[in-house]
Amino acid sequence: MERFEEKFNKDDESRENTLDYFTFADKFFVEHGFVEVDTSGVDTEKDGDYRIYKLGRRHNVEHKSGGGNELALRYLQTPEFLKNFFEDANFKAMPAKLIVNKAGSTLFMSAGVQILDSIIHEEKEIFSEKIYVAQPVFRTQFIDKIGEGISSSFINIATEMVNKSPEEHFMILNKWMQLLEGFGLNKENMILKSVERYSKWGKRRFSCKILKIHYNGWGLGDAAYIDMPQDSRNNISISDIGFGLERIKWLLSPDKSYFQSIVPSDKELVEFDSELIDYVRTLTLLAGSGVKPSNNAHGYRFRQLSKLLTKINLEKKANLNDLISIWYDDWRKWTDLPVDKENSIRTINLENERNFNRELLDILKKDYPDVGIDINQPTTKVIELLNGTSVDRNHLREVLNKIL
Amino acid sequence: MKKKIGKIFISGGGGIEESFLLDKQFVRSLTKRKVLYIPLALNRDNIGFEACYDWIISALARHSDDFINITMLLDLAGYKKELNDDFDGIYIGGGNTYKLLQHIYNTGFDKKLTSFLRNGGLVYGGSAGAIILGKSIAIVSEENDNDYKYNKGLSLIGNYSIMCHYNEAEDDKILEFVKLYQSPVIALPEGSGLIIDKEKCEVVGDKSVLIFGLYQERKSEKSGNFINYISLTI
Repeated sequence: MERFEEKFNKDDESRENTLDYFTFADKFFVEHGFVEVDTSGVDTEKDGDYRIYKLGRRHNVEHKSGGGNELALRYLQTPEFLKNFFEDANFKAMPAKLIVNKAGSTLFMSAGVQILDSIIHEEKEIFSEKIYVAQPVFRTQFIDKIGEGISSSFINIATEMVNKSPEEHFMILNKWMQLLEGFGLNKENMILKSVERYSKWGKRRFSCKILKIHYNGWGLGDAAYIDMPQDSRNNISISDIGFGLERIKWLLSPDKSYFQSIVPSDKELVEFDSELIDYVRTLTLLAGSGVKPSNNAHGYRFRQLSKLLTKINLEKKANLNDLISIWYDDWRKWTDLPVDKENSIRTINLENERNFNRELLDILKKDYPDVGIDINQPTTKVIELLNGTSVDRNHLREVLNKIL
Repeated sequence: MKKKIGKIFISGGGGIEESFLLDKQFVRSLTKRKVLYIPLALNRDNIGFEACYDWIISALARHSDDFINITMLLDLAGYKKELNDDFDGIYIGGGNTYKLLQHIYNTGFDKKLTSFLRNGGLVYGGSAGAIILGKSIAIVSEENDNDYKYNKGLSLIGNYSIMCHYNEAEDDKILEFVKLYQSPVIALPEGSGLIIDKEKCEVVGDKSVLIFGLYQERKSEKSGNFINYISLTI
């Protein structure tokens, strides 16, 4: 049972930072022309008590096209533009961590801020540099919601700073706003939601002040200023500002579906549906990162995605190798993949075959409940063995014609 | 044909080692091995909920040689399908009992849960997830940190209310609650658990469960005991 009587922000420095935070938050809203919207009577219970800000009517919006969406989209195809942009702003661009998280509070990287895991959880030395990272992340919670705007893996482009003041936090948020507007994402389509909340990563329970940035109703990213307790030293403050790269690309591509907008520019994926594209994309990231399928831990997610993929591909019979290859090459631009493409394809196909065998047996079990064959072998072998069981050969042929 | 009614599994809380025996029984009772996991008693962000998912996999997967399909649900209102079609078990995790109960009532998920049990489903409640299954959650009134309006639990165990993480220091508080709410209390220390169906209740785990009766009497029930005066009431 979680107790909420724990007090945060005990020391004077934290209280001062809290005051500072709101001072600079207000300054940020004013400078950008955002005004608070009256939300009295609106039920905001679902996801917290937010203060909501929209662009004021009298504010003159300076439409900056940034050279047009086409150019912006081209810039976002590879990491270089963003890396250069933040390096020019005196950030140190860190290489993305492997998707398999070895030290933090989750099995997989699920946000750019986890680049700071060793500082947060192991209390390693705090560095003074401002960090930029384009971190591939995996979020299991999205698996059953795949569709427009939502994928189970994406690139979290993020800036991270430790022990920097609220003033610096908002200065960096200004930099992000400059970037987004430059891409052609206009402030008049933005809603900012401000909230204070407690959360927990591993054993660390902490308070944070969050500014969520929504664009045309879609969450684009958020800026969190975190007060993180430590065991052997004073609380540290973390400025964590991150955006979903794929959402940005999609919102800059009004005529394209989400997955069509995130695929490398010279590829077409029209024949595949969203879930299939997404599961293959995430499986490719996992396989390329060295994850092997199993019934628990990291491998659990691999098996889970492969099962979902196999189920939806039963009657579509799509050949997935080309799709795996496209995503492998795309992920490779953003992160190191220790397993080569051929072996990644082999791992995915082997697991898909296993799960196909499971599906086949489950279908047959409706009429032949006693049929039981080891699924960890090639499908050809499973079919051969099925021909030696009580399963009617014509029925087996019919089922196979339908799903194979 | 008489419809098969489900069971509830109640854990006294703690880590996955404390609930090992109850978790094992829960997993072994699953026929489809499809579990819906509800961690909404917790205040978590995206990273926090990913960690919750890691945790539930580690808690349940080790009790099965076969793959257990676990779906994490963060939006109760958004779930429109029949639960029994997709799952044979629902695991409701711990956290803030009031927050959880309010979310369940506000989304109408209480009716879905009852229907799930009526149609043979298994519901596992850990800590806050267990307390909401009893008559009143006012036994943890100190958790009402946000003017939550619901005290009345789902009342799935007759007149009984549930206390988790029990230790002797809380006896006075429990006795006062019994008197005030006229509800006997099942007090579960960490490491203890109950499996309750329409006929009986079985004590599972390393530790005994304490029953605080309406007349200030107490009874200790040890692991392996079957309690015939406690049953599932739906």
